[in-house]
Amino acid sequence: MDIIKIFLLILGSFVIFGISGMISGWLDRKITARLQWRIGPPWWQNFADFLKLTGKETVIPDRANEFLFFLSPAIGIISVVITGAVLLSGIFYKPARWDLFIFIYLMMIPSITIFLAGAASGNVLASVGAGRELRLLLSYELPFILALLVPVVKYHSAQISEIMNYQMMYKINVGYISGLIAFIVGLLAFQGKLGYVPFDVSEAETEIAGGTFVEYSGVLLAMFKLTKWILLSVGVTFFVIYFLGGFHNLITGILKYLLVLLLIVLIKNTNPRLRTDQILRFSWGWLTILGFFALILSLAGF
Amino acid sequence: MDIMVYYFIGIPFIAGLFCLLLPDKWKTLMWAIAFDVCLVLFGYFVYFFDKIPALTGNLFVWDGLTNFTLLGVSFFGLIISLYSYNLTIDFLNRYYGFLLLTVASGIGVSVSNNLLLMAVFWGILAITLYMMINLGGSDAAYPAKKTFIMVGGSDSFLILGIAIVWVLTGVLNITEMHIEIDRALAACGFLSFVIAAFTKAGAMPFHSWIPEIAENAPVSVMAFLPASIDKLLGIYLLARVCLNMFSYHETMWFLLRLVGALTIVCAVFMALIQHNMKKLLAYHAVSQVGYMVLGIASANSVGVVGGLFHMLNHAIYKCCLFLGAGSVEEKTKTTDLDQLGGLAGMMPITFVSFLFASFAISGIPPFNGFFSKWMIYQGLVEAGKSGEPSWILWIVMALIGSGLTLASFMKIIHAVFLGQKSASIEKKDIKEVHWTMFVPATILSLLCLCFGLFYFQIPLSKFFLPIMRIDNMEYILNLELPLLLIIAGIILGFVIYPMFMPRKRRIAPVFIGGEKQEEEMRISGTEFYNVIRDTRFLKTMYVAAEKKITDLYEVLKSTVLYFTEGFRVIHTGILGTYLTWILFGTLVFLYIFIRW
Repeated sequence: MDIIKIFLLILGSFVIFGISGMISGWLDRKITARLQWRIGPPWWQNFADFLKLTGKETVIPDRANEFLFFLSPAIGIISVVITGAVLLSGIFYKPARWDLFIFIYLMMIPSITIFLAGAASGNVLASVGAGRELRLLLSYELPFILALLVPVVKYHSAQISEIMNYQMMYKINVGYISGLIAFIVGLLAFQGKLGYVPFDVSEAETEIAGGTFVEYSGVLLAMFKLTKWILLSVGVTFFVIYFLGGFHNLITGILKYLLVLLLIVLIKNTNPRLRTDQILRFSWGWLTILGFFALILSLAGF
Repeated sequence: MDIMVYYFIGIPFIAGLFCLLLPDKWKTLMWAIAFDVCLVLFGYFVYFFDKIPALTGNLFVWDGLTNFTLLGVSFFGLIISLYSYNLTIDFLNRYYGFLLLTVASGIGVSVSNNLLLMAVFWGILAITLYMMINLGGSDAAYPAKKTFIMVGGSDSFLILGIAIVWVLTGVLNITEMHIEIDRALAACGFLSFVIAAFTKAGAMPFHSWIPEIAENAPVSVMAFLPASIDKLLGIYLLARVCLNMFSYHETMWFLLRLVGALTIVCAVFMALIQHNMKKLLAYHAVSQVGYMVLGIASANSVGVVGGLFHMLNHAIYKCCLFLGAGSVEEKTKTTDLDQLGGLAGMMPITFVSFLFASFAISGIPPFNGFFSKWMIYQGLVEAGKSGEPSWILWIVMALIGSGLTLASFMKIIHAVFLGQKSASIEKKDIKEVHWTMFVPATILSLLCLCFGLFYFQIPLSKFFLPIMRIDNMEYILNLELPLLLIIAGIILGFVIYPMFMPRKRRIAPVFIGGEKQEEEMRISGTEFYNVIRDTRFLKTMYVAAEKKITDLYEVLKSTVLYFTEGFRVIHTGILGTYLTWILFGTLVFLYIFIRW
């Protein structure tokens, strides 16, 4: 594999997931608006928002640690783009040469950058948000891991290429009962990773004024917005590859993508915000029990 | 070659004894002796790394594992002696003396082929550990005693293990035995060795001395012994026992994995709620042992190499973290998380090295901790192919342990370096520490990055592949593409990012709804995980842990005290009573003898 291909993958991931992320973000806003009997923004709204933010003035709080304040948005965006590139290499190169554990660890980085951004702001509200982000990370990580391990248990391999092959040869993971439960658990945990309602404690505009992002403005805020959009797109793509059989047929692939996105948006719109202790009890309680149940089912072969 | 070994052990040993004789005031001379001896040893081991011929003698053994352990021991000796240049401590002669003695006996342990010889060096290590902890002043006396009893107790298990092995095989050389665990005696011997290794490395339930000494022992001692040398040697022994001496046995290896996984999770839960930086780091020093044990107990080449790799990585980043804590303590005179905050701007180099090491311990790619953990997971998946289902549980526990580690390190980062400054910090004029203190930490943190980015070129192909061939190399190569993507991503990011740097900037006070940010609003970060502490099930666990029910030492102590309560009544310590008893006894004996 030569260097040019590697750089092309990174740039391709940035472009593909950037655009699809912005459009997914728009779909999210549009569906939300329709559910609330509003008309909603036009399809280019997120692009316009992004452009406008890049032109705005950036305010730096006087107590901030400037080094991290500037660096954390960059790490965030780089990490999601890398995750996207890893996914893309799974789609374009056969056999895909990466495995689940890399993905799990890469997906932790965006949460850390959000935390670091809040902690570096020197603002108490941002510190509250940062603390909540960590508690959130603790809460959803366990069910997320359990859900993603279900196919690993079934096929005795963490290699993504093998899991994709098995899905092509037999049936998609959601076709099994264990896979279906794992898909639901994983999706709920991923909702936490995205910081969407009901798990939006770390931002919570109405309580702590944007929490970790309270001091961010201008280009830096635009970067965080882009990070979140790319994360949405990358996560949904991963779920399609990992549980729903992937993009072998582009049309059905996109339909699957839209289906997962719709589920996320619906969960987001039908729930109130939870407190951190409720989130902890929910994810270490019910979600974890369901996750273990799915693991046991998949051990038994269902 | 044989004669060189005597020099390796003898030179630091004699230098150490010499330091003990020097007066306390000759600080620089003692430092120079310690530094130079470690430098020469390290230089020698690096230069002759590939060139030393393998040796299997009656007394000494020299193979890949030895090579690598020796390199580690001398390297950490060097780092710690550099760091100690500006150390303010009473009895500096003892400090440097015991440091050199530790290096000598560490080298001794790793080159011994004869088990009795190894036990001798192992015993010296316990003594130097005890003496070095005692340098922490009068508060360190009880923790030092506890450590000495625990580590010394484990030494007797080591000797018991040696005796059993001798009964079974009739030889005492590590390289000559291959014991099948087919009867109870062999199992006892195996467990005795494992207990000795676990106590040294600090795996549960023999861990309790590490958190106990954390607060009172000097930080450089913490960074040197429990964080690096003890891990290297403890896991070295475990590797020797599992790879060379005993052959695979289902139940025993299952037990090892169980202990490893439990160690990871339990210790990290204890770490989450700590309020003292050093104690928190100490609990992580326990938790990480679990990964090494899991790796070695996975009983296949990828996992074992992962375990050994993790041992090296742990020594590097934990040493760096303790040195960072030491630098913070040097400048602020406290390691209480509630009283720190906002140090990042004043101690930028310490901060960045601490941040790197935190990422490494949490397993964030591309730092070294990720690669060793990844290999351990591969080893566990591979071990699961035998059909036994427990491997899933170990993977889940290891993964969640990693997430919790990340969370607790982010808490330290917030409470110490970021967030808002506490009142006491605001008053002090704090600057970066002396260069002899930040250079070692920086070297270690760069090593964290270097061993990650070049995980295959440097650590794997130089240190570990000579020890053990990996049967399934394609596993390792699977990391190549993601790693290249990460490197390319970072490069591209740092090329493109400056173009997007905001041009229009304004510095403004922090905004909290228009009010002024006061000192009492400060969020320290120590309260982040109170929610976890208050969860129903975990609460009972935490209460139990605080009553020291999980502490083997305290449990044994109270049991022993319960049974010896009766003797206490007799042993009052009053001379008159003793004399009366003696007189009475003499009369009785006299009577008996006369009648007889």
